[in-house]
Amino acid sequence: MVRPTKFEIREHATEPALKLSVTGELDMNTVELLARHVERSLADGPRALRLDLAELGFMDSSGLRFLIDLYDRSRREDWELSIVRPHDEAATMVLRATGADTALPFEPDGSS
Amino acid sequence: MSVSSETQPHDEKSVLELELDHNREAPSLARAAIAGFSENRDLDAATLATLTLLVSEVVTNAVIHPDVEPPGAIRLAARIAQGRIRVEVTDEGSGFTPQPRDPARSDRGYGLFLLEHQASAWGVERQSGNTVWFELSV
Repeated sequence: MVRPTKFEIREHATEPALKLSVTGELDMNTVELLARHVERSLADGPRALRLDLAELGFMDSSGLRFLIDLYDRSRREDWELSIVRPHDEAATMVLRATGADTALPFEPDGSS
Repeated sequence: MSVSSETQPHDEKSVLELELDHNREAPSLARAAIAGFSENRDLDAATLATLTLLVSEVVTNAVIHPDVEPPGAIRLAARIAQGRIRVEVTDEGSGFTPQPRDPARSDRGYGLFLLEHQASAWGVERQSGNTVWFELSV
Protein backbone atom coordinates (compact mmCIF):
# COMPACT_ATOMS: atom_id res chain seq x y z
CA MET A 1 0.00 0.00 0.00
CA VAL A 2 3.03 2.27 -0.23
CA ARG A 3 2.31 4.83 -2.88
CA PRO A 4 3.26 8.40 -3.59
CA THR A 5 0.75 11.07 -2.68
CA LYS A 6 -1.50 11.77 -5.64
CA PHE A 7 -0.73 15.26 -6.84
CA GLU A 8 -0.58 17.21 -10.07
CA ILE A 9 -0.11 20.85 -11.03
CA ARG A 10 -1.07 22.02 -14.51
CA GLU A 11 -0.09 25.45 -15.73
CA HIS A 12 -2.28 27.41 -18.11
CA ALA A 13 -0.65 30.40 -19.72
CA THR A 14 -3.74 32.53 -19.66
CA GLU A 15 -3.85 36.32 -19.69
CA PRO A 16 -3.78 38.41 -17.68
CA ALA A 17 -3.56 35.95 -14.83
CA LEU A 18 -1.45 32.83 -14.79
CA LYS A 19 -3.65 29.89 -13.90
CA LEU A 20 -2.48 26.86 -11.94
CA SER A 21 -4.83 23.90 -11.61
CA VAL A 22 -4.05 21.65 -8.70
CA THR A 23 -5.43 18.13 -8.35
CA GLY A 24 -4.84 15.44 -5.76
CA GLU A 25 -4.01 15.86 -2.11
CA LEU A 26 -2.39 18.97 -0.66
CA ASP A 27 -0.45 18.17 2.51
CA MET A 28 2.99 18.73 4.07
CA ASN A 29 4.57 16.67 1.32
CA THR A 30 2.89 18.03 -1.80
CA VAL A 31 2.63 21.63 -0.62
CA GLU A 32 6.38 21.92 -1.22
CA LEU A 33 5.87 21.06 -4.89
CA LEU A 34 3.18 23.70 -5.19
CA ALA A 35 5.30 26.28 -3.35
CA ARG A 36 8.23 25.66 -5.70
CA HIS A 37 6.00 25.88 -8.76
CA VAL A 38 4.45 29.14 -7.59
CA GLU A 39 7.88 30.50 -6.75
CA ARG A 40 9.10 29.81 -10.30
CA SER A 41 5.95 31.36 -11.74
CA LEU A 42 6.46 34.55 -9.76
CA ALA A 43 10.21 34.72 -10.34
CA ASP A 44 9.88 36.99 -13.36
CA GLY A 45 7.96 39.54 -11.38
CA PRO A 46 4.62 39.59 -9.65
CA ARG A 47 1.59 38.96 -11.80
CA ALA A 48 -1.97 37.95 -11.15
CA LEU A 49 -2.30 34.32 -10.15
CA ARG A 50 -5.39 32.19 -10.32
CA LEU A 51 -5.18 29.02 -8.26
CA ASP A 52 -7.79 26.50 -9.35
CA LEU A 53 -8.45 24.07 -6.50
CA ALA A 54 -11.81 22.86 -7.85
CA GLU A 55 -10.60 19.30 -8.29
CA LEU A 56 -8.49 19.14 -5.16
CA GLY A 57 -9.32 15.93 -3.28
CA PHE A 58 -7.87 16.78 0.12
CA MET A 59 -6.24 19.63 1.97
CA ASP A 60 -5.02 20.00 5.53
CA SER A 61 -3.55 22.91 7.44
CA SER A 62 -0.22 22.59 5.61
CA GLY A 63 -2.10 23.62 2.46
CA LEU A 64 -4.09 26.25 4.33
CA ARG A 65 -0.96 27.84 5.73
CA PHE A 66 0.50 28.04 2.22
CA LEU A 67 -2.63 29.76 0.91
CA ILE A 68 -2.60 32.28 3.77
CA ASP A 69 1.09 33.04 3.24
CA LEU A 70 0.56 33.40 -0.51
CA TYR A 71 -2.38 35.76 0.03
CA ASP A 72 -0.27 37.85 2.44
CA ARG A 73 2.49 37.96 -0.14
CA SER A 74 0.14 39.02 -2.95
CA ARG A 75 -1.06 41.97 -0.88
CA ARG A 76 2.48 42.89 0.12
CA GLU A 77 3.71 42.77 -3.49
CA ASP A 78 0.50 44.20 -4.89
CA TRP A 79 -0.60 41.52 -7.31
CA GLU A 80 -3.93 39.75 -7.41
CA LEU A 81 -4.48 36.25 -6.11
CA SER A 82 -7.76 34.48 -6.74
CA ILE A 83 -8.63 30.96 -5.68
CA VAL A 84 -11.24 28.64 -7.15
CA ARG A 85 -12.87 26.84 -4.26
CA PRO A 86 -12.49 23.06 -3.98
CA HIS A 87 -15.64 20.96 -4.27
CA ASP A 88 -14.64 17.93 -2.26
CA GLU A 89 -15.63 17.95 1.39
CA ALA A 90 -12.23 16.52 2.34
CA ALA A 91 -10.63 19.64 0.87
CA THR A 92 -13.12 22.25 2.13
CA MET A 93 -13.32 20.99 5.72
CA VAL A 94 -10.10 22.72 6.83
CA LEU A 95 -11.29 25.98 5.23
CA ARG A 96 -14.67 25.96 6.92
CA ALA A 97 -13.34 24.80 10.28
CA THR A 98 -10.86 27.68 10.47
CA GLY A 99 -12.99 30.40 8.88
CA ALA A 100 -10.55 30.66 5.99
CA ASP A 101 -13.42 30.08 3.57
CA THR A 102 -14.43 33.70 4.09
CA ALA A 103 -10.97 35.19 4.70
CA LEU A 104 -9.15 34.03 1.56
CA PRO A 105 -9.80 35.51 -1.92
CA PHE A 106 -12.10 32.79 -3.24
CA GLU A 107 -13.92 33.45 -6.46
CA PRO A 108 -17.70 33.48 -6.21
CA ASP A 109 -19.19 30.05 -6.89
CA GLY A 110 -19.98 29.47 -10.53
CA SER A 111 -17.41 31.89 -11.93
CA SER A 112 -14.98 29.95 -14.05
CA MET B 1 9.49 2.37 3.89
CA SER B 2 7.88 -0.22 6.07
CA VAL B 3 4.16 -0.21 6.46
CA SER B 4 2.26 -2.95 8.15
CA SER B 5 -1.37 -3.26 8.93
CA GLU B 6 -3.15 -5.84 10.95
CA THR B 7 -6.56 -6.42 12.35
CA GLN B 8 -7.31 -8.09 15.61
CA PRO B 9 -8.56 -11.65 15.14
CA HIS B 10 -11.05 -11.45 18.02
CA ASP B 11 -12.88 -8.49 16.55
CA GLU B 12 -12.44 -8.39 12.84
CA LYS B 13 -11.66 -5.02 11.29
CA SER B 14 -12.68 -2.97 14.32
CA VAL B 15 -9.05 -2.16 15.04
CA LEU B 16 -6.40 -0.66 12.80
CA GLU B 17 -2.74 -0.68 13.72
CA LEU B 18 -0.13 0.76 11.44
CA GLU B 19 3.50 1.71 11.75
CA LEU B 20 4.76 4.54 9.57
CA ASP B 21 8.30 5.64 8.86
CA HIS B 22 9.03 9.11 10.14
CA ASN B 23 8.95 11.10 6.92
CA ARG B 24 6.80 13.44 4.88
CA GLU B 25 4.83 10.61 3.29
CA ALA B 26 3.46 9.55 6.68
CA PRO B 27 0.35 11.79 6.66
CA SER B 28 -0.66 10.55 3.21
CA LEU B 29 -0.20 6.91 4.19
CA ALA B 30 -2.13 7.47 7.42
CA ARG B 31 -5.02 9.02 5.50
CA ALA B 32 -5.10 6.11 3.07
CA ALA B 33 -5.16 3.64 5.95
CA ILE B 34 -7.97 5.49 7.73
CA ALA B 35 -9.94 5.67 4.48
CA GLY B 36 -9.65 1.89 4.15
CA PHE B 37 -10.56 1.38 7.79
CA SER B 38 -13.62 3.62 7.42
CA GLU B 39 -15.02 1.86 4.38
CA ASN B 40 -18.46 0.28 4.74
CA ARG B 41 -19.10 1.85 8.13
CA ASP B 42 -21.82 4.24 7.01
CA LEU B 43 -19.85 7.34 7.98
CA ASP B 44 -21.34 10.46 6.44
CA ALA B 45 -19.17 12.62 4.22
CA ALA B 46 -18.64 15.33 6.86
CA THR B 47 -17.56 12.85 9.53
CA LEU B 48 -15.23 11.12 7.10
CA ALA B 49 -13.74 14.47 6.06
CA THR B 50 -13.20 15.47 9.69
CA LEU B 51 -11.65 12.11 10.53
CA THR B 52 -9.29 12.29 7.55
CA LEU B 53 -8.32 15.88 8.33
CA LEU B 54 -7.58 15.24 12.00
CA VAL B 55 -5.53 12.14 11.23
CA SER B 56 -3.51 14.18 8.75
CA GLU B 57 -3.00 17.01 11.26
CA VAL B 58 -1.89 14.79 14.13
CA VAL B 59 0.49 12.72 11.99
CA THR B 60 1.87 15.91 10.42
CA ASN B 61 2.59 17.26 13.89
CA ALA B 62 4.36 14.03 14.79
CA VAL B 63 6.55 14.39 11.69
CA ILE B 64 7.33 18.08 12.25
CA HIS B 65 7.77 17.95 16.01
CA PRO B 66 9.15 14.58 17.02
CA ASP B 67 9.06 14.08 20.76
CA VAL B 68 12.05 11.80 20.66
CA GLU B 69 15.46 12.17 19.07
CA PRO B 70 16.29 10.54 16.82
CA PRO B 71 12.68 10.19 15.70
CA GLY B 72 11.45 6.62 15.49
CA ALA B 73 8.41 5.21 13.76
CA ILE B 74 4.98 6.80 14.07
CA ARG B 75 2.30 4.40 15.20
CA LEU B 76 -1.29 4.94 14.10
CA ALA B 77 -4.05 3.07 15.86
CA ALA B 78 -7.78 3.38 15.36
CA ARG B 79 -10.72 1.54 16.76
CA ILE B 80 -14.42 1.92 16.42
CA ALA B 81 -16.97 0.92 19.03
CA GLN B 82 -20.24 2.12 20.49
CA GLY B 83 -20.72 4.98 18.09
CA ARG B 84 -17.25 6.40 18.53
CA ILE B 85 -14.04 6.17 16.61
CA ARG B 86 -10.83 6.66 18.55
CA VAL B 87 -7.52 7.43 16.87
CA GLU B 88 -4.12 7.37 18.55
CA VAL B 89 -0.89 8.62 17.02
CA THR B 90 2.26 7.71 18.92
CA ASP B 91 5.84 8.85 18.45
CA GLU B 92 7.91 5.77 19.13
CA GLY B 93 11.09 6.32 21.02
CA SER B 94 14.32 4.60 20.15
CA GLY B 95 15.37 3.84 23.68
CA PHE B 96 15.44 7.47 24.74
CA THR B 97 13.14 8.99 27.31
CA PRO B 98 10.38 10.87 25.54
CA GLN B 99 9.84 14.49 26.46
CA PRO B 100 6.27 15.65 26.99
CA ARG B 101 4.91 17.88 24.30
CA ASP B 102 5.04 21.50 25.24
CA PRO B 103 1.44 22.75 25.17
CA ALA B 104 2.67 26.32 24.78
CA ARG B 105 4.50 25.53 21.55
CA SER B 106 2.67 27.94 19.32
CA ASP B 107 3.96 26.73 15.97
CA ARG B 108 1.67 23.70 16.14
CA GLY B 109 -1.00 26.21 15.19
CA TYR B 110 -3.91 24.95 13.17
CA GLY B 111 -3.52 21.28 14.00
CA LEU B 112 -4.23 21.97 17.64
CA PHE B 113 -7.00 24.40 16.79
CA LEU B 114 -8.69 21.81 14.60
CA LEU B 115 -8.42 19.10 17.25
CA GLU B 116 -9.90 21.46 19.81
CA HIS B 117 -12.82 22.42 17.60
CA GLN B 118 -13.55 19.31 15.54
CA ALA B 119 -12.90 16.34 17.83
CA SER B 120 -15.45 15.13 20.38
CA ALA B 121 -12.55 14.69 22.77
CA TRP B 122 -8.77 14.68 22.50
CA GLY B 123 -5.72 14.53 24.68
CA VAL B 124 -2.05 13.75 25.04
CA GLU B 125 -0.67 10.78 26.94
CA ARG B 126 2.86 9.83 27.76
CA GLN B 127 3.44 6.11 27.74
CA SER B 128 6.14 4.31 25.78
CA GLY B 129 6.24 7.34 23.54
CA ASN B 130 3.96 10.32 23.37
CA THR B 131 0.45 9.66 22.17
CA VAL B 132 -1.99 12.22 20.82
CA TRP B 133 -5.48 10.76 20.71
CA PHE B 134 -8.86 12.00 19.62
CA GLU B 135 -12.38 10.68 19.36
CA LEU B 136 -15.23 11.41 17.01
CA SER B 137 -18.86 10.43 17.27
CA VAL B 138 -19.82 8.39 14.24
